Amino acid sequence: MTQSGIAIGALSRMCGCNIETIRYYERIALMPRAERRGRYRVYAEADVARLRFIKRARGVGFSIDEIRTLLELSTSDSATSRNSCSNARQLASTNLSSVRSRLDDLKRMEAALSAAIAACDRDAFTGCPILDALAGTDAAWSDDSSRNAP
Amino acid sequence: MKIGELARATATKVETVRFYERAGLLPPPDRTDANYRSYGPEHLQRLSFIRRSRDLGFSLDAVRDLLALADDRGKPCDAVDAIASGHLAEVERKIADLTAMRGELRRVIGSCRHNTVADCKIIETLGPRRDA
Repeated sequence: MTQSGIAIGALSRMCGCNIETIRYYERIALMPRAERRGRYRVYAEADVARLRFIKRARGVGFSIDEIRTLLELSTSDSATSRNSCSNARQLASTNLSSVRSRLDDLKRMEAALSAAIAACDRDAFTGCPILDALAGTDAAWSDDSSRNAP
Repeated sequence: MKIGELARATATKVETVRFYERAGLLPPPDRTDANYRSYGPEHLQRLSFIRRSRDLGFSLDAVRDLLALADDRGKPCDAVDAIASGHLAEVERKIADLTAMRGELRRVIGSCRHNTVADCKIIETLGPRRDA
């Protein structure tokens, strides 16, 4: 590439984002349609910044639609920008709540799985406590609320 | 037992029950004369198993494997242990990711000064974009 411009492979490495994902973001218009040189896409610094923004936002669990909104907020004009700031804060807070509830769910799963695996005793085969737990036939387990099952 | 009753008994949507049947997790039930699905206790038991597994985050494929193992109880349970342990490792990895995410979001929200987007810390933290 003789002129300045960033190829998709370089963009991919700079942002830690798969090439296929970059193309996908273009298809769903999360990234603007890249300029074409021949059949190759060519990117500018602004695209690097935008893709990094998307990548980071995905990393903290924002959905594609939320990122779209965040990107719109970040490019809105000053007339509405105070409003936009509180919208961004609102989005981040909502996201934090959903991260918290996903964490709670996963910790519940972790406790239940650990308990079942710990109960697995291969020496004296009297049945499989993991399968019993899933079938709901193990007394220590049938109560979903028991967080500290043996 | 009609599909609605089975669904209620297991807190499952009717559509999901049909989906499990299509996905081969739940065997097709008998049909009534009017061609309605008619389920027996074995369906209830199997669907409860599926629901518990899904609640614990097992993938559909893992549930399929677990069901196959549960159907053959004479076998050693090493395979069950392996599936559960692999899944536990995955759950723990997700917990670590989400904990990092939570920290990041707290930091981002904590830095918000309620000003304008020009100096919005939330947008700034996510990535530079002024030249966009």
